[in-house]
Amino acid sequence: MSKKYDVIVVGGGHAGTEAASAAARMGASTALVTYDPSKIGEMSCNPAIGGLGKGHLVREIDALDGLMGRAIDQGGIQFRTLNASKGPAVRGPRAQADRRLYREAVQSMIASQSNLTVIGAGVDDIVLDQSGRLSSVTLDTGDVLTCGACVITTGTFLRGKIHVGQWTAAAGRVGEAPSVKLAETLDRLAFPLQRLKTGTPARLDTRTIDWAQLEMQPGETPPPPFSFLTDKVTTPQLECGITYTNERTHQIIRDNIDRAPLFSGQIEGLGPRYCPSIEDKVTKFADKNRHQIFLEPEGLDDPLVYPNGISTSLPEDVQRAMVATIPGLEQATIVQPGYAVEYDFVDPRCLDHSLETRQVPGLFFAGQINGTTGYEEAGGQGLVAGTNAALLASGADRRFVMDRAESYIGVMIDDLVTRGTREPYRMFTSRAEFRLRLRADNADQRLTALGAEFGLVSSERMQVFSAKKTAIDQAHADARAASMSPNEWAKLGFKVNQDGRKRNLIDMLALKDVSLDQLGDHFDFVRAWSPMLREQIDITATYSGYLDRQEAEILAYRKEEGLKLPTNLEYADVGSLSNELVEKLNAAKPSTLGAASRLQGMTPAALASLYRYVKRGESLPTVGSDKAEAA
Amino acid sequence: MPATNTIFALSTPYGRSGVGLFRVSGDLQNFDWSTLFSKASFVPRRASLCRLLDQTGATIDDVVVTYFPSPASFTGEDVVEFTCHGSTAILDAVVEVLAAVSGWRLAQPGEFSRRAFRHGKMDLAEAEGLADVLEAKTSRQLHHAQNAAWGNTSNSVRTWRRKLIELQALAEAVIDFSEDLDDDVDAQILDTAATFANELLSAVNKGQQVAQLNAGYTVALVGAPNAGKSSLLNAMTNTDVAIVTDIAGTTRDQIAVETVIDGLPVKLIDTAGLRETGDVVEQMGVERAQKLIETANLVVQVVHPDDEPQIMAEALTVFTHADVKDRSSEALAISSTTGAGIEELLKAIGKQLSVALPSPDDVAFSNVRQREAVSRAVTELESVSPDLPLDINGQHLRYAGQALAEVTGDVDVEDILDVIFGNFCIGK
Repeated sequence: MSKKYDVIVVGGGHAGTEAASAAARMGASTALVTYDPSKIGEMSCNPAIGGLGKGHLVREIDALDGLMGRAIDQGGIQFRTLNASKGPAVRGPRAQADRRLYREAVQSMIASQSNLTVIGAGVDDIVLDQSGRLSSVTLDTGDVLTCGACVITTGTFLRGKIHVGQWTAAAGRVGEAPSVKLAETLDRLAFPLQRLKTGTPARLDTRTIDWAQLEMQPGETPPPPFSFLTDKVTTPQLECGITYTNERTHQIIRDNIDRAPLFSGQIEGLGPRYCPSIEDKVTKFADKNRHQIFLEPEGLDDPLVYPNGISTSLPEDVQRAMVATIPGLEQATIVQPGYAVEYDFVDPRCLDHSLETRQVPGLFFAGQINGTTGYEEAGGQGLVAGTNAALLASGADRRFVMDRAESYIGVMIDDLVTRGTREPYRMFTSRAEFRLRLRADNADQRLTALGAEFGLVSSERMQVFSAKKTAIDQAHADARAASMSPNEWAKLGFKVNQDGRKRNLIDMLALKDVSLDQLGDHFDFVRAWSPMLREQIDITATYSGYLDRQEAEILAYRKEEGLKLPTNLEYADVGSLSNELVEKLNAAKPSTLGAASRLQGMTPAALASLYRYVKRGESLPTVGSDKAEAA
Repeated sequence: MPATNTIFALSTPYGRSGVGLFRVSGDLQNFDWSTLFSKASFVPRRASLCRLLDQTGATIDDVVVTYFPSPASFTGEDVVEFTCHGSTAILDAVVEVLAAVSGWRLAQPGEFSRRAFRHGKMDLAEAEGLADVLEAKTSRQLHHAQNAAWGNTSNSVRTWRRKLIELQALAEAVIDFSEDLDDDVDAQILDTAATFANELLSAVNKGQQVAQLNAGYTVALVGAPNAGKSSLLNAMTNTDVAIVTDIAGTTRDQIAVETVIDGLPVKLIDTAGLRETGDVVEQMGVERAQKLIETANLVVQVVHPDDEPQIMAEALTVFTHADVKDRSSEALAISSTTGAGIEELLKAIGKQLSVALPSPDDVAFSNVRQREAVSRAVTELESVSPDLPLDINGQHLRYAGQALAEVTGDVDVEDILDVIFGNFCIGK
């Protein structure tokens, strides 16, 4: 049997569903191929969405009309804003999820999406035409699907291997077969494959946990939703428990460290430093006498609890002994032991910014296959890859590429395709140089109109956004129009420098001791503002000056981005670059001077040489003292 | 590779001299030396005597050749240095024969240093220090420049870079891993930023002093007409530049002599005697002298022992004619005739000028470019405030990092993450 689609998406995880939905929203006839359609939208690691940096990604996905924000609003059972007091730019929305509700929400959106077909099968091979362009995929059923473009999102399934103590098994997730044939195909096409590892903790039975003796952490009331379309979260809300490891726990780990695959050499892949296993933490931070554990319920009526903080691949008997030392978990039953999973990933420097591979036109990669970790990172890439796959299939020349000044998704993809990664890549706000501008609260203001331009955004969302935008603009206009002299402000009881300079309401709000409530006493329109408008005006005032400065930096950044580097550039010929840099540049093939500047080890001198070489086709020395003739 | 990648230059000044040193740098592994010299190969880092030949094989001069193969050379490339005799005729002939070698060209100003910089043989601060070493005219200038050229500045700057990375890591860790870090580190961030700003500011101020040393000092001799200023100038500089007469008001314009006092480059300026005068030219001289009192680094008030000194803040007072009337119990006293007290006066001037000068071992940003960049870093660090949210304070630290990076090289986000993961137990 042979069928034809514009876009085929392989994999039904967070990258795959966003990719398929995006392509279908763009009007491309799309097939989502996955082993087991009932697992679409599964959260295979911890039952939570968002967090620091990650919450930004979810808001951006939502601003572009993706699934993740709406799904967690339907499946979330505890919502919190992290870093609430540390400044608007670094606030991170986060929610615990009911796995089943979340999965069902994703599946229902996939099912109701027009232009989208779900096919339950594995993909064995991808087929290229004579020009080397991707033309079809072969399923394990023997069916061949022809397509204009294909997005591969195989997560940890590429040659996945699970470790629990000395026991290992070939699997992508516990009980699910890995993709071996596809990995062989990628080998054959000479994709640079490397190995990574990640892990999960044991799952506990909630009924065997002594909740009464635990510190409990409630969510916020009312729960702050993720999606710009959600007015109110209606799922019932739960609390999480907090407990700690202790010296006895650590002793058990130390006594059995030789049985840990991470330390015995059984695992070769490099794991993430920010999500270390408990054996890692105990070994590396030997002076810490306890480590925090969040006990996260996996659902409203699900007996499983995810003990976040003790991810491990120690043998099952050690896991049981270890858990029994922890307050509240003395009697806890392990339903499924923790495990480490090793998998192949593709060095993402073989991709361009649209996430299309350079080797095989028409082939896109998104998600963990590119060396990232996390649902949110996967979803963001999926959305971009799916959109570009649809553009390519439609014959459009344009690509959907966001830069580092537009979105965290743009930062992430630029990091991946220009710098690659050695450990599973996770989003941090530290990675965003224009952090003050890229906030969770303004993701829609940054991206929704752009998404609409590409056909990604529904008319419903566009209407909601336009109304919000109008209100925000009006509030700013009103605030700026309320401009008065120091004398006039003093008459209202505000202390201002008597410098004769007129100040508007935002200037006033930027002062240390002035609040919106005080201003509301004197201005009716301020009192009429919704909480959303109050927040937006407050943020404008907090960042006044800083955002202008950042805009100037963005201009400079975009100017550098504007200088394209030819893809066939022979870096060795530039003549003044160190061998190490030439190697790095050849591996990364940065598309612009700006991208080159972000490679590690890049120096201003090397950049200047590169700039001159490209601009004038010659290489001249450029940096150093002019005084030291023949020094 | 571009065809003209091997560079050469005469490294000693052009003109008649005992020897001239030429330096060649490039990829010389496979170069056929017998086309230039009477020897076909050289033992690395050992001087050997041979002849330099022209294209016809005729001898240009006897030369001493030393070969420094890459990477252990000044530029990090293969380097050949040779000395020839220093007549202009020979130097011209050598340049001609070297320029005729295919792929070789005359170096641009500073190109050897640039190549050394590019190959990691020195960093920017070292390169700038080297430029100052080459410019140094006095011993003190040299000591300070060598401090930078030998990498002492760079080492301290690296320490600061490390410190800034740690400070940034602290702020970023509190932002990105707030769930893992329960410690309240806000106060620590504020304190560290303030201390750090002070340290940098001190190095900036010291750098200003060293920059003054490099630029040289102005010392003005002022006083009443006929106090003996011009005689003093001549005595201090062992010259006869100033006209000395008994007629008051002889010096009408300023006379400047450049000299070295205690290792410091000093421009000594003899001025018109300060008095009311009807002479237009002399009056202009007096006005200039008064202006100089404002701008000079040091004013020496020269007083005839029969007169009384004026009260002048921060001026050094010296009585003249000590051989006639000795007032050395009240202030410095000299005799331009016998030379008595001149040595003491020079010492006192040297001491006064160098009082704020840092020790050569201190880190000082003497280079304007460095000083400007570090000053910007200081401004950013000083902006960190308990009244600002952490994301804005973090932004100030980032700007500080960018400014400091202009001296130290880039601070990469991965460096910051490395510190975060190395120092904190992060992750659930």
